[in-house]
Amino acid sequence: MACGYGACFGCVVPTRDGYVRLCVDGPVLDAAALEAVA
Amino acid sequence: VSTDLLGLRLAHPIINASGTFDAIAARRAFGDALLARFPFAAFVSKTVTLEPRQGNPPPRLWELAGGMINSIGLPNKGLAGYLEHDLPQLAELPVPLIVNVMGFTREQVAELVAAFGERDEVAALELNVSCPNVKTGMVMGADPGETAALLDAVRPLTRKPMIVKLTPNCTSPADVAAAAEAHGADAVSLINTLRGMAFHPRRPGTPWLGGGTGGVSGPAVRAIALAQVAEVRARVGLPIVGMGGVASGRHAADLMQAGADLVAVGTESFRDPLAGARVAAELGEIRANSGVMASAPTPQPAAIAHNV
Repeated sequence: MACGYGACFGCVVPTRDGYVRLCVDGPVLDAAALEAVA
Repeated sequence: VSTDLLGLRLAHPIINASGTFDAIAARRAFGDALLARFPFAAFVSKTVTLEPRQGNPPPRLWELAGGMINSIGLPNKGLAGYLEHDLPQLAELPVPLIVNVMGFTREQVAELVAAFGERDEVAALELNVSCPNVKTGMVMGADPGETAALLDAVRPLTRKPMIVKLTPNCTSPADVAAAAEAHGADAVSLINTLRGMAFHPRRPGTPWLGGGTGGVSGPAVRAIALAQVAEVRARVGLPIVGMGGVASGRHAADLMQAGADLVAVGTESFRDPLAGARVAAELGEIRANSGVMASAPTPQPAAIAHNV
């Protein structure tokens, strides 16, 4: 995470709806929406 | 100390590097107070492409001793999404808006330039030429001929000022700058990030970044920026937006002595979103206390003296 406020798009995680920024769209996400992590 | 550049009246010479400050996200995070004390004299938007982009797969960042490598991949809503969602919000900023655009063909760049060229909200355009032309395989901004051909295609489409963002990942940025000047660019900006790579700490030989390689930025590239700005200044008379690892007024003053007219703050804004305002204030103090900075830029000797 570079910026922590949604600017850099460095902390994205893949979900069924595309990438979301963990810093502003998280840090808690709906587990059902997450894609499997290798 | 106000600055006139490209027909824009700027409160000071510090702007942001494209992609390193998100005015919409910052306003959401910090509130309307951000508008009252906006850290930059102009706002440069993230790169806009014709079609929406998700960006590169994560991981997207790697921290270095002197900066970072990013492989973000230019996620954006595409031209239509930008015009509908982002432009109305960015038009509310108290400073001029510079829109950064990138295309994978000259035709795509032309479409973007034409679309933004007719928008009153847009003060100037910055061309991100650090990507391959999918038709020729050449990175547009790495080759003087490609840069010239691109400008020939897009220059007639708008009277708005056009800034060409030079890439350091080429043989001679100064040759590219000279081509840009000869074919109608209004300014050049440099440096973009330097291509770099890191391996996964637990899987030797496997790139850490989802994109394989990324762009190196931060304090590590400041010396390279200083040298390249001086080199480009020796070749062209165009206004120069200098950037690369700027984290203080001293760093900005150094780039201006090397030949930059404006200075952009990039990676430092991740650490401190108000870095632009601090750098501008520090630069103002340096200029007020130094007769040297008030006169025309003089090349390296003075800049070197600061570090002795």
